[in-house]
Parts: sequence; C-alpha cells; structure tokens
Amino acid sequence: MDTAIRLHNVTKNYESFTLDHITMDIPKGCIVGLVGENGAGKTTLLKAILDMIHLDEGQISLDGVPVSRLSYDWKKEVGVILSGLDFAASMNAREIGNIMAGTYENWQQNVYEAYLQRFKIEPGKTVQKYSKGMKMKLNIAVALSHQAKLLIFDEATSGLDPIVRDDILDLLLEFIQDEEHTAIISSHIVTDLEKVADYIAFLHEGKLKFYMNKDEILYHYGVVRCSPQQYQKLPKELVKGVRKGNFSYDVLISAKQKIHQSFPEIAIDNAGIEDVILYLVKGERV
Amino acid sequence: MKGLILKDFYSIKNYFKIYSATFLFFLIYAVCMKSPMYLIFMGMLMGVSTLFNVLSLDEASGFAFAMSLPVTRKQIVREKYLFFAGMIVIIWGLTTVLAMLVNLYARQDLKECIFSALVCTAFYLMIMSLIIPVAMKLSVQKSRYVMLVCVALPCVIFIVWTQMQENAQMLRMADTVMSQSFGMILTGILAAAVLIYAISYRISLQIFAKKEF
Amino acid sequence: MNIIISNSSGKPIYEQITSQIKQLILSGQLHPHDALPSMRFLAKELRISVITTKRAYEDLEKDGFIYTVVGKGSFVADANHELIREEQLRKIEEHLEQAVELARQSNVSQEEVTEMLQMLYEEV
Repeated sequence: MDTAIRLHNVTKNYESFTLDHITMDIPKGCIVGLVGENGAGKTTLLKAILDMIHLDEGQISLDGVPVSRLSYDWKKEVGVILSGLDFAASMNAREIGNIMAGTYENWQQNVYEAYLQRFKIEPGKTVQKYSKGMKMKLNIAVALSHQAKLLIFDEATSGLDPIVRDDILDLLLEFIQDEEHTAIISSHIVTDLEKVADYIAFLHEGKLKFYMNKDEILYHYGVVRCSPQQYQKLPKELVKGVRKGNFSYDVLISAKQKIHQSFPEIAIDNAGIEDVILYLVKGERV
Repeated sequence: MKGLILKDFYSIKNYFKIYSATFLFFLIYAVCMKSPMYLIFMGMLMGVSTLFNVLSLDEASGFAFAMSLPVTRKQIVREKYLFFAGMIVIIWGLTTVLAMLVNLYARQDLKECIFSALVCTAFYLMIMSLIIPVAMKLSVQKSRYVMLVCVALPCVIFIVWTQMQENAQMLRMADTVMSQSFGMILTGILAAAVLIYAISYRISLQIFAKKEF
Repeated sequence: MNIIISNSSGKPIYEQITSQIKQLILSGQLHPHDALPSMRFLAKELRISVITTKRAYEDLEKDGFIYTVVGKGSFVADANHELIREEQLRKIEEHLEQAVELARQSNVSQEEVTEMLQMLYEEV
C-alpha cells in the first residue's frame, strides 16, 4: 500500500511533556487508530501533522514533501475534527455550510445537506442548543462534504452514547471503501478503535510504544492466568507484562498459540487492545 | 478568505440585537441632549466591543480552527485586518449619517461633528493597531490593559485641552489653526492612522507566522 | 454466501476466511467466474481490518482459487481438479499432523500409528 503520511523522528518539547522521536508510516486506504491515555501526545501528534505546531526535530511528509513546505492547498483534501474546537455558539448549520462553501473549493452543498438530514440536524438551529452527539455529527458532516481524502479525527467518539458512536464508526468504514482515502483516528475509547482500525498506534508519555496491525495483535496476544510457579516456566521473551495478584498471576503474552502448544494445561484468554495497553502501562516491567 | 469573513460575521451575529437597542438609546439621548457627540461615542463603544468579542473567540478556538482549514497564516491575519477595517468604515458611515440627522435638529457646528467622527475613527484605528498584535502575541486579556492605557490618553489630552481653554491665547491659535488647515489636519491624522494600521499588520504577520496552537 | 469468523478460534482470521471460501468453491456453492465481494466491503461487513481480507485474497490467489482483475475485483477461478486434490491432501496432512502430535504426547510409537492406519484403510 502507498504511504499517505510519513512521520520521521517527530519530536516536540513542551515544559511538562515531550513528544519523543515518533516514527511511523500511515498507509493509504487504512484507518490508523491512535490510542493512549489523556496527555499521551495524541492531539499533539495530530496538530503536528496539521502544521499547527513547529517541530523541534524530525519531519512529517506527505507524498514525500515535508508538510511545512507544502502549500496550504493540501488541507483542501483534509477533513479535520480536533477536540476542543467548536463552532461559535451563535452559528447554525446553514451558516456553517456557507462558511465552508466560502473556504473549500470542493465543497458539496448537496452532500452536506444530505448528511444534515441523515443526522437529523435542523439547519436553522444554533449550535449552543446542540447535544454533544449532534455537535460531533455536525463536525463529521462538514468533514465529509468537501471530497476529503484524509480524515484526521481527534477524540471523535468521546463522550458520546454507544449508538452514536456506532454510527460514526460505520461512517468511517464507509469512508475507507475508497482505497485512496485514509483516516487517522485518535480516541481513548480503545474498543471503538478495535472495531474499525487497521493499525493501532499506542502512545504513552510521548513515546510510540507499539504500532501494529490490529488483527495481528488480537490474534497473537493473550492473557494467561497461572500460578507463580507456572509463571516462572513461561519463556521470558513472550511475556510482555504481568499483574501479580494474591491468588494468581495475570500475564500478557505475545504468542498465544505457542504458549498453548507448550503449556496446554494453562488457561489462556483472548486479549483486547485495551488489555494490551493496560498491561504495558500498569503491569510490572518484565 | 470569504469563509473566514463569514465566520467572524456569524460569530458576532448575536450581538447585533443588543447593539441596535443600545444605539437606539443613545440616539434618543443624543437628540434630547442636542449633541451628536454621544452617537459618535456609542460608535466607538460598539467597535471596541466587537473587536474584543472577535479576538476572544479567536483566542479560544477561532485561530486554531482556522489553521485546520486550507488557508495560509498570512490569509488569516489579512482577513482579520480587513474585517476590522471594514467594521470601522461601517460604524463611521452609520454614526456620521445619524449624527448629521441629529444635527439637523440640534443645530451644532456640522464641521465639528464630521471632524470628531473622523478623528474618532482615526483614533480607533490606532488603538486597534496596538490591540491586535498584543492579543496575538500575548493574550486578549493583556490587550485590554493596552486599551485602558489608550483610553486614558485622550482623557489626559482632554484635561490638557480644558486647561488650554483657560489660556485664551492658545484658544485663538487653536481656532485659527482649525479653520485654516482643517482639511490638512484631518488628512494628516487619517493618514497617520492608516499608516500605523499597516505597520501593525506587518507586525501581526510576523507574530502569527511563529504562533503555535 | 456466508462467511463466519470467530475471535476465539485457534486459526488466524485470514486463514478462517481462506478456508471458508475454499470450501464454498470446492463444494460448488461458488461457481467459476463468480464475483467475490471486494476486500474492503468484506472487511467492513465482517468488521475486520482490510489488511486481513487483503491477505486472505492474496493467499487464495496464490493457491489458484481466485483471480483478480484490476479495477473490477476478484473472481472464482476455473474448476481445477489438481487444485481440489491438493486441497484435500492438505487437509489430510493437517489431520495426520494432529494425530501424530497426540501420539507423541501420549507416547504412542510410530509403528503403532502406522498399524492403526493400515487397519483403517482395510476397514473401508
């Protein structure tokens, strides 16, 4: 697959936090899920991609050209939702449509209106009267109405009820049907990303802890529940984290099938992405 | 850029009602007091109010939002200056017309009226030239302090002026200067204001180029 | 056409897809030149990554079960008896592997297993 965005050694220093030498390739036609706790650096990374902050080190390039040297044109094809950026309270959907029509060359008013109808958003109702879910849906309607090829969604599903979240995830899957489309979604609701992402990138305290194909993670990683004695017998290179309880040990392993073959008597559970993250962050260092 | 102008316009849309109401109040007041100066004063107030409203919204999320759109940083700054300049022109037009109407009834010196309106406009341009870069570089809150200083200045000038009124000689001089080179003084003040505005624009461009969100 | 995948099966998901599609082809439910759903559509419907469906389709094509036309999609390849035989052989080997593993674990010798095999063939 072609690369949509290439991040190389991306570093940004703040007083209390540093985004530390992030290197990853975002392939076209994929949904990349960015997970991590609040403050891990997800929003910072996305802002860096949008050239909203200047990097201390490293480079972000689109199709080989560094973002900072690209003319602003490339943003025409980008649909952005950044957490904390809201439309002014006094605006309504119709006015927002007018603003976007005057900003994006490829604005499609009919597509926008179709989304408004689909999401049951009244064009004349002001934003301050919207529920949180409606605000997000409006953002999405805007992001999808100018023929965007790249979607950058920061916390697109946070604070929303499960039904709305499911709607949004469905929209993302629809969007990615075109293999020229790419999406980078950040969320701290890991299960949402587990449903739709192709790759999962885990940021923790500014560092990229892992970046893998989601299905592979789900297939290979597992949680073993065993006694301390059994734990000692497990091959150390496959143990990625352990939580030592009073009655048993919970161990994150990175090769479910191998362990099952070697230790058929040990109970192994499937591990979700959230489990992997919890063990990597809260589990003991192995 | 059209989209950005619309964005700023729509974001303050809500205030128009209050402005109209206040304006009406001052209109009545001005008629009663037979002084169009109150209208001009109101115009200034509206202008300042709008300026801070827009800049506050920008600081909160407007600028960051604009950065996600396909516009250059230069365009964002340019739109701001154009928007505020346009706003001043509209306010000036409105207040002048209404002031002249009031004048028909109040029969004050028309010249003084127009002079005041234009000087106010120029003065306001100069204040904005200071406020916008400060708001961008530091914060809107700090720019309010700048504003206070700017407002204090004319108060000082006014006090000096009243002192000068005592001095009859100065008064005669002022009158002569006023009647003879009225046009020139006016043009001079306006030109200075526009120049300062342009310089402010340049400075803001540089500030915004380095700004992070 | 039904494709059911499970996260708790021991097989990786792309393998589950390939074996189910192979079965559909071998059993005749899918005919030669029938169109398969696009990789992306399948991924969306099954709620899995497109990388996985891509791999499944690539494997199927490598094994000769399907062919892809650029811009049009993937289609079932012509019935090929060689293929079918190969597939059956593969399955048999899989089953035999399992039997051998079990035998090893329970300390049953190769001779005993071969004897069992002979007896089974004679029965049928």
